[in-house]
Amino acid sequence: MKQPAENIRFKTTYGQISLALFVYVLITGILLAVPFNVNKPYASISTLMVMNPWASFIRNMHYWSAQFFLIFSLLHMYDHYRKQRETGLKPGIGFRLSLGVLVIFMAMLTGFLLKGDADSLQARQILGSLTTGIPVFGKFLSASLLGKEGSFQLIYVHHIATFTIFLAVIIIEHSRKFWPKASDFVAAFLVLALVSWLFSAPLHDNLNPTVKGPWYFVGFQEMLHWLSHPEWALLWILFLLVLVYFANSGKITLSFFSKRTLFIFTVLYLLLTVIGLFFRGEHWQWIAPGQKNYHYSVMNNFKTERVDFHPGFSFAQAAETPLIQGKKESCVVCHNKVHGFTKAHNPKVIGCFSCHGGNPFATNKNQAHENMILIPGNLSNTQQSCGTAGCHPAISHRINTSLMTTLSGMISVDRTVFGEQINPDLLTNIHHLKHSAADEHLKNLCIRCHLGNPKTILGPVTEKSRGGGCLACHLNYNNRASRAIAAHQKDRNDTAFLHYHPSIDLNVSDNHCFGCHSRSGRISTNFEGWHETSLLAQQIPDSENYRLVEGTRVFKKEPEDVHHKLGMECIDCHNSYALMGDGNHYQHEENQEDVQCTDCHFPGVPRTTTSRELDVESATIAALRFGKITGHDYLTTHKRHHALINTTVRSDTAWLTTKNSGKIFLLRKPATVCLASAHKDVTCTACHSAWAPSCIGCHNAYDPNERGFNMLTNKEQKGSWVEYTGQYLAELPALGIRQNKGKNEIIPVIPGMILTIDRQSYTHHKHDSLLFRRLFAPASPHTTASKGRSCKSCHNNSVALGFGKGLLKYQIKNGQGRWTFDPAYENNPHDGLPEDAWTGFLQNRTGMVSTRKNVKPFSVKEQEKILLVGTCLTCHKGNSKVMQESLNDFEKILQHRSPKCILPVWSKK
Amino acid sequence: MTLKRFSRRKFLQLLATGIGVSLVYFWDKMMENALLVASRKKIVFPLTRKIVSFYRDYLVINQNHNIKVLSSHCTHLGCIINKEENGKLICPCHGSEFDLKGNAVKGPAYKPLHSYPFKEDNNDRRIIVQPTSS
Repeated sequence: MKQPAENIRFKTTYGQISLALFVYVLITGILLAVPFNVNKPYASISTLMVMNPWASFIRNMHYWSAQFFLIFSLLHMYDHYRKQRETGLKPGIGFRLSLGVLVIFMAMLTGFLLKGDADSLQARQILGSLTTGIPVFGKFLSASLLGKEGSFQLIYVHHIATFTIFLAVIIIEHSRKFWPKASDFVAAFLVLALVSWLFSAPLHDNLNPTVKGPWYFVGFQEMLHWLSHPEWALLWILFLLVLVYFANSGKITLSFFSKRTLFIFTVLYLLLTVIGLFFRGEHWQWIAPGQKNYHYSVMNNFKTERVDFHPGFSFAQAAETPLIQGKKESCVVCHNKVHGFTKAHNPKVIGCFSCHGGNPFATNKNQAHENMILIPGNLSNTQQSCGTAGCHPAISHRINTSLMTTLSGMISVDRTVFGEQINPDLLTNIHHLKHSAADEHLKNLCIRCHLGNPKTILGPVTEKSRGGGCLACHLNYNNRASRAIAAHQKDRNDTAFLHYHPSIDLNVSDNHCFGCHSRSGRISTNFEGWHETSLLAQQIPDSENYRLVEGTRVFKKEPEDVHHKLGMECIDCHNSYALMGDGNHYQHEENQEDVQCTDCHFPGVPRTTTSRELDVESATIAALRFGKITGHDYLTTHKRHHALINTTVRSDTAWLTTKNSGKIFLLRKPATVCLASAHKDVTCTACHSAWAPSCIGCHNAYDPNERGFNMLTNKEQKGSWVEYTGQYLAELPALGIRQNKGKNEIIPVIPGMILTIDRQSYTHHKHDSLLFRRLFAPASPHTTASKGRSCKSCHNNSVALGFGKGLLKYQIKNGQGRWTFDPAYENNPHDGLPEDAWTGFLQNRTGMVSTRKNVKPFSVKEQEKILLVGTCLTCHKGNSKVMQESLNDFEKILQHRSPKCILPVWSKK
Repeated sequence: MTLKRFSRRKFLQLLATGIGVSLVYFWDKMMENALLVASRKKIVFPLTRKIVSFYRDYLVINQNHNIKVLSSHCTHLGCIINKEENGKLICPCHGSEFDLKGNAVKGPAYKPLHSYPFKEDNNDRRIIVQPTSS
């Protein structure tokens, strides 16, 4: 030391503060060793944070004294370099000092590792890998530093002994003449105490996927991110240590050069540290403030609680709660008597924090509830709740591909109808909506039903519910919970609801589907046998045959679906992959749907799979629903080979068990008539749909003064598209052709959109004329009857053939037979077809005819083919021998027909 | 060589170096055995239908009965991979990605995940890994 000691003896230096801090590190370290358990580091630290505020305070003092010690040691070095002192230290001391810098970092890093949380476990791996990368004895060095995987014993020994003793020795050697003054100790203590009370030392919650090292390591982590060969980083460390050595002990020029380089490096390193701390999120991806999840990915790292010396609960209460996922969680200390969970979601197993976030280590209400998720399961928060790595990550990813989330088909069709795109099958997403006429139309009238629409109010799913992410289907309130939440909604001071948590489970009932699926195609109401009328609520007749939905919509009784009559529910057919998506994007519902009628009502030999072959999701659901699954054979779907886990197959016979109520049914095989070659292209629903809702003559216009609603943002607005509906009808659906994989299928269709759209009212473009569309849509009416429709209802029926209502007649005049059609509705001036028609009588219709590219009305040839059979049916009954025989060889029957049978002539006149 | 030339200081220096070298030698030998003991452990996993099962040091991949046992340690810096998304194994530390065969598809890692040989015991539905045989 070249400076006379007397000059600085009266002045507090950074070095003296460091020394005072080091003393506090030692004292608090010794104290902290009492509650710390090296065998369960994470559990013991979280326990002391929750149960022992004084231990928590001491831990914080240990942490902060160490951090400040590092900072002041570095400042001390800088101070010396700046003031040109210290140059020409003896090489031995210089060497030990340089090594000392490394040892300070090692002592602190081992302290970081001893938290045993997610950050520490990964940092341990990185430290291990880097040390292993040291040439020749890296592997041994690594093992000697970190010890056995999973054990913290050796790290603890190095932390409290090896590095500490080394530091103590060189500090004593280095600074024996400069013992800090008493006032330095007092000042350091006061600052430390204040900081330790206000800010707790970090502990990762082990749920957030972002992992970062300690703050002084984050810049290095950023450097490592850019290095495919991280071994190079070791050379950097060596280079730095050499610089520190030369700065201390090198000749004047070398020392100067070393100091400058160190200074530049420090500035750059600080920059990297800022990047690592504030601009790196999950998986070390770039993220900037304001971006989605920024708070969760980045700021969560700075979550720190103030030590509360009077926690909001008693010690005894805290002692009674179990460790949750390896940690003590303060949430369950207060919320310890909450009922209603399924086993898997029992808070004794997953705590409250796994779903609701907040701060699991805080000990008073306000701090614990900070950044809490009130309603977990909304798609905006699944990444932090249901979808975290240990829970349901795959589903939370898949759900974003489901049509219930993207609404791709609905959006694409609407844009096509509005003439904004040509192909209704283009894939798109609700998040891609902009401000075109169609997109505004969708926002005003259609898109409230998507899973991303958040649930914002506590309470059970009702017929008014829309969206809600996972909760849309999986939320169930039992009676007590329903009563409790209703009481709370009436009186905010009634907090009994806090004891009755709704269950998140597999009991997905028809009521969950009802809110959304009672609209548009109305499959929920169809299934239950209710048809919407145009009556107003006040006009509802006092009869059991009428029902009011959502307080405004009047429904009338129609035959219910045979499956509903038997007690089946939606989820008895629709499996998890078809509903929550299978990871692929599909254009329309029929593409995403997996199950088909013939999967259960199969002719011949069933397609099966065994319980051993089940995928994990199906096996888990099957086991949760039905218990033991070993040795069970299941039917599988024809389309994507997913198991139908509520079926049982023995030899060639199959049974179905309803998922919620456990009723068992024998699965019936299709009737002979279904298998006849004449009907090989006819889908089951074409015959077995008893009725389908339809609506014609609707008009859409934009009214700039209408009080409207933006369903995407859930906000009211001025100006909205308005729909003026026509008449609702419940009748046997029309039929059409769907081209599917080179095959023509006959399917039920409904007048999806026979409408006019006044685009100009929205765009104000002169060239935007009134759009007229006559589009039918493929339908799956969900009004299945066990008996199929009659032969005549297809072959002699103008609605079935797509001509619309009217008189379809076969007349024989002068020995010549002719079919004639007299439509009930007037011709529409836009295209000259009757209002309710899909195609003209014995006319072809091409171009834009349906809401799909592959669905079209019958061509003239196909109409003739159907009507030819219809001709026979004018005399012969459907169940007559000749008609039954004709099902397998119609040509043969025709050739042997009686002279009395007069076949039609196919000209319209 | 005379006693004068071989000073006491030099002698002590040599002795200290000798002791240092001996200690390094002892350490080397001790670690060799310690690591050998640690690597003798046989590890058994249940054979499940999960496509990716995460264990602390291992990943068991089962794609249609095509089973692989991979190290869960990222080849960049050894972090434990604990996430699969879209058929990609993602490292939390620096975002390296691997496909389900263990090949690196996104940096900074470039080496494939270490693949362990294993035996499949179909009767007890389990997988047995002996890391020493790798």
